[in-house]
Amino acid sequence: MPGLDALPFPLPTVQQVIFILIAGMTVTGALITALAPNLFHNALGLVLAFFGVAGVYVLLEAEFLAVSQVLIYVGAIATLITFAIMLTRGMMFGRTSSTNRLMLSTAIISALFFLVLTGLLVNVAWPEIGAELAGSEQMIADLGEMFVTTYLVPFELMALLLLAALAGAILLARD
Amino acid sequence: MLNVSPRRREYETLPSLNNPAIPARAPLPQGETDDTKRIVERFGDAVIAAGLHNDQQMVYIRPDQLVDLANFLKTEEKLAYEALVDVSSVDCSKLPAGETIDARFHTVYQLRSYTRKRHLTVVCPADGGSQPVVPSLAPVFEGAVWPEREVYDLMGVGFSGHPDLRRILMPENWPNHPLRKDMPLGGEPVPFTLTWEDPEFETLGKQVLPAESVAPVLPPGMNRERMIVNMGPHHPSTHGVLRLVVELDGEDVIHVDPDLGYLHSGFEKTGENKRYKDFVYYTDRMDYLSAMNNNLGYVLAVEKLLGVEIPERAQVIRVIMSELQRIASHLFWLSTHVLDISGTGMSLLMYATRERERILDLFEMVAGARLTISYIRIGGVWKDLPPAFLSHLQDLVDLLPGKFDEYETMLTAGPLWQERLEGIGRLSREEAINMGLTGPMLRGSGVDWDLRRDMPYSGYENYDFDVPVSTDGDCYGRYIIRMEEMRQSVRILKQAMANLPDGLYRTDNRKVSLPPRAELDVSMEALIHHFKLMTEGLQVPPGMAYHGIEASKGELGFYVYSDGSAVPYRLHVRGPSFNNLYAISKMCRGHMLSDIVANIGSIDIVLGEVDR
Amino acid sequence: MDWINLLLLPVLRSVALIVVLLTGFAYLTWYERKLLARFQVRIGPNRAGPYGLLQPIADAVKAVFKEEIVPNMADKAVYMLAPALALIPALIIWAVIPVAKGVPAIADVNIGFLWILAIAGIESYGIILAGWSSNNNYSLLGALRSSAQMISYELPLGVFLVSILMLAGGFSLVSLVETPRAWWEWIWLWLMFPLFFICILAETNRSPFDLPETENELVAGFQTEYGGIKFALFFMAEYINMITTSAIMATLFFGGYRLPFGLLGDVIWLGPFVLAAKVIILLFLFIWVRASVGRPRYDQLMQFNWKFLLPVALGYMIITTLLTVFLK
Repeated sequence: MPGLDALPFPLPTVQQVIFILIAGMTVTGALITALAPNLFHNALGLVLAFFGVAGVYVLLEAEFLAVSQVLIYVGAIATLITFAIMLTRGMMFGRTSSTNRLMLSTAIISALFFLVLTGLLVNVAWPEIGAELAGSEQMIADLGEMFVTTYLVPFELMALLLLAALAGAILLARD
Repeated sequence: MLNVSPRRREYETLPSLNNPAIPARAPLPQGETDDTKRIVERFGDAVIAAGLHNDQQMVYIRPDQLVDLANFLKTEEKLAYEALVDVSSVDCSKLPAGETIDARFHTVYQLRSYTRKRHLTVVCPADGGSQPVVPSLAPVFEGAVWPEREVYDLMGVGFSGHPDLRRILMPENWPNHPLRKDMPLGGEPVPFTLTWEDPEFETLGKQVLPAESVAPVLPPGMNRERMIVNMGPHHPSTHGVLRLVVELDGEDVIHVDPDLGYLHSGFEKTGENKRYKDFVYYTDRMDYLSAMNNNLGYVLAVEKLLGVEIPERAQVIRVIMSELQRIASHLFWLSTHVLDISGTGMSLLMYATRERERILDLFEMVAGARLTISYIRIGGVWKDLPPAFLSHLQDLVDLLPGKFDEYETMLTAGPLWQERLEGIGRLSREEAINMGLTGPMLRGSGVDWDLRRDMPYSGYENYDFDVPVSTDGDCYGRYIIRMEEMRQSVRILKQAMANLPDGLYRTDNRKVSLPPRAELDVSMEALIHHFKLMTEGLQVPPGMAYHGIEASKGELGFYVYSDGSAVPYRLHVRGPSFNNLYAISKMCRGHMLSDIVANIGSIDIVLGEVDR
Repeated sequence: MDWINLLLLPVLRSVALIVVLLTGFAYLTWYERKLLARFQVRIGPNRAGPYGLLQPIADAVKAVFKEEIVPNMADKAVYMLAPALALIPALIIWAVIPVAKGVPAIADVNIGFLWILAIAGIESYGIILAGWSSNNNYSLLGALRSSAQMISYELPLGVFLVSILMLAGGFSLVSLVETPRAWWEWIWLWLMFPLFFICILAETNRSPFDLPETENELVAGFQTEYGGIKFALFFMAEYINMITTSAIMATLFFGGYRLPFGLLGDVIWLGPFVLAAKVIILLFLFIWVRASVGRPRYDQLMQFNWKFLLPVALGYMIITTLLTVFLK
């Protein structure tokens, strides 16, 4: 294919094309989440963003993480959010403003957070693209082992936190 | 755009045949019974008349003492009329003035004592001329709420002290009260109706006519903040065009308000413009699942006024038909109830309709029709049983008990079935009586009452059968009762088949039933009878009669007021479904959405009868 | 070659799979109608073609040519999106199911189990969106029921899957089928099968757990406002879900594409047919249950899950852990 070499820019690889698509999807989702006037649409935007993030994980060959992302965030958390929105009937078709009086402080916090992230992105020595990973089956096993050895205390603390949240939710729902 | 419904054709009667004694008022009751004596003692002058009329206990009372009388009847231990079975009304404006009463409207109450097995009719001439008002009995008998609404709606009688006096069958914005005698049958403007002259007919493709839209009205006591769901009028499990306005909190039912009348077709008004014999065919269309029972109830009420003897064979045939119809109706109830509760896949629908089909085949055999049969006629039945009928019936009777066992193995002990029905729609004995419920609804709440046994008609006293009673008062209890009733019906059928006498299948009283065709050729007298019956019709002596029978859904009562002519002056139907459906609000409150469906099924309604 | 390996081949495989599944769906409706008819002493479809075999085609034509109606007050974009979202999970779950020796439907990824769980989790979206966007009380109630039911039944389903995972010792479904099992493992698995099947019934909204679309209470539940081809998509999703879950159950419990005792193990082309046969038998179970079991009430369904299924699933998992540690 001689014509292709003559292009002024290099032809993107498959990964790059897919990455651009996924990134576009994620950003769109995030924008819908932040800007759409309808609360239910916000929740759907969030789902889209979650999917995008899962896609990024797949590109990074972290299938386990990707599927966990879908399983937990899309399958459970976002479902619960939509569920809650449906239960509050008043919000169903009303338009909610995407801004409120906390706008300024939120903007400052977001900007600071963005700076921190940018700093991280620039300064940390990230592994090169294309570096081969060890057998992923083994990785999952290692992950599991770490949970019950090195990170046992945080792991249990997280479980406790979730339990407390669960009990609190039931308490609130009973009123 | 409003259209005009077609005018009716008047019956043509030779002027010389007009009897000057017609129309006549129903005579006042004569004599006295223990009960009327007590009432007269207590109320003295307020009682206009009391005694017996056509073997029915009857009291005429002045309206100011009506509520006191109701309280007295209900609470006095020696009277114990616990239940108000029916409320109806008569517009006397086309009748000659009475000697003692000149009120235009009468309200008529049917009271029942379950413990003493007595029936009492109370007639109350209303004050107020053409804007009549009578005190409401709803504070005394809860069962009066809907029937009084119906009377208000159709006859325009106001009830002071009624908790919820809205129209019930006609639309909220209906201009008049159709059962009044000055309302013509036909000729009035009717929205949505086309006449042949109408230009709209030229473009039949345009079927939706413009009609003024009416803003939806929230039933009283409902809160718009919660979710309001309209179950019906087009809903798979309301058994027709019933509309339930349901207020929901999540899946929990807060409030249910039934909206009736989508199928209201004015049977009573029609009946008041048809000859007695012609109305039999209309009764089929009310509770179309138990046409035989409807025929029977109507003809019994008319026969009570006529005072004719029905031959033994006809009586037994009537019992056979009535019990077959009860089984058919219960089978259909069972199949739809299972379908409502368990979903489409539940095969019992098909199994039960398969057996019902056999019964319909039998009906086809005797009458040529399967659903709207009109087999039971005034004076007997239409034709004698065909020769092969009994052997086919025998086959069916042998088959049915096994099939009932089969259904019960699928349901009765099944945990899913029990969980769906037990404790749902619970009604206490007092509530059931007070609300005027009848049939399995009443027996399900522990009242041991069956009109067939306790006020026998058509020779039911000659049969040996049990009346199943459940004290649970829930849907499961009512289910068990209906299953047992089918078995008892089979038992009655067996006895009836064994005791079927030979003889006439309809009365030979030629004032009531036509002479056979062959007789016309040889007998002048027969020819005269035939001529009189065909031209003047069957003339019923003046009077009023209420007759209730135990139909499959409860007490089916017909109230007939005759002015002596061949057309009933007032015809009122007490549909069991109508009165039983009143309980739905109480049954559903506090349960879940799914239980509404179970409750509707458990009440066993047919909308043709509810709306009439 | 990059393009061909990464895109073209999977696309071809997917298309083939979808064609097979859609045909399967069409004839599953016929299969169900015929079977239900037999259970209910009826005949079933018999007019279109011999034995009514052309009935699915007639249905499809009818669905496609029906007038498209969108309710006025519906949220149009979401309303149109919902049927698609209902169908997609039912299809993509197939990616990891092995159809023949060493041949997964799309890819042998080492996260097969998790994939099933994750997709099961997003299956409820189509229904939720449909119920919400229709702007109809019945639809909303159906959607609420559906999401609560799916979230609840996912828990025991997940716990059961984890138990199977522990027995298998790996995430891949391909290796699960290939690895021989000890006799006690089979028995222990089959003990759990009825409970697993109940979870699957609830996940696929099949009778007796078809509460989101109970026509006797909610008219048609979440799909009340849908007609024509959009309704057909929901219908398709439900039936393809049945096929999919049957395939999963066949893979997890009955050795997938393999014949018992390793018969004819070398004949690779036999695999899909063996799997199909097992799927058809399992589908018969679905239909049998529909014809004979009544529907519980919504709260009873939830109680059954939380008070019975989940504890049993947890107990099962603990025992499985012990068995795995001591016997393997």
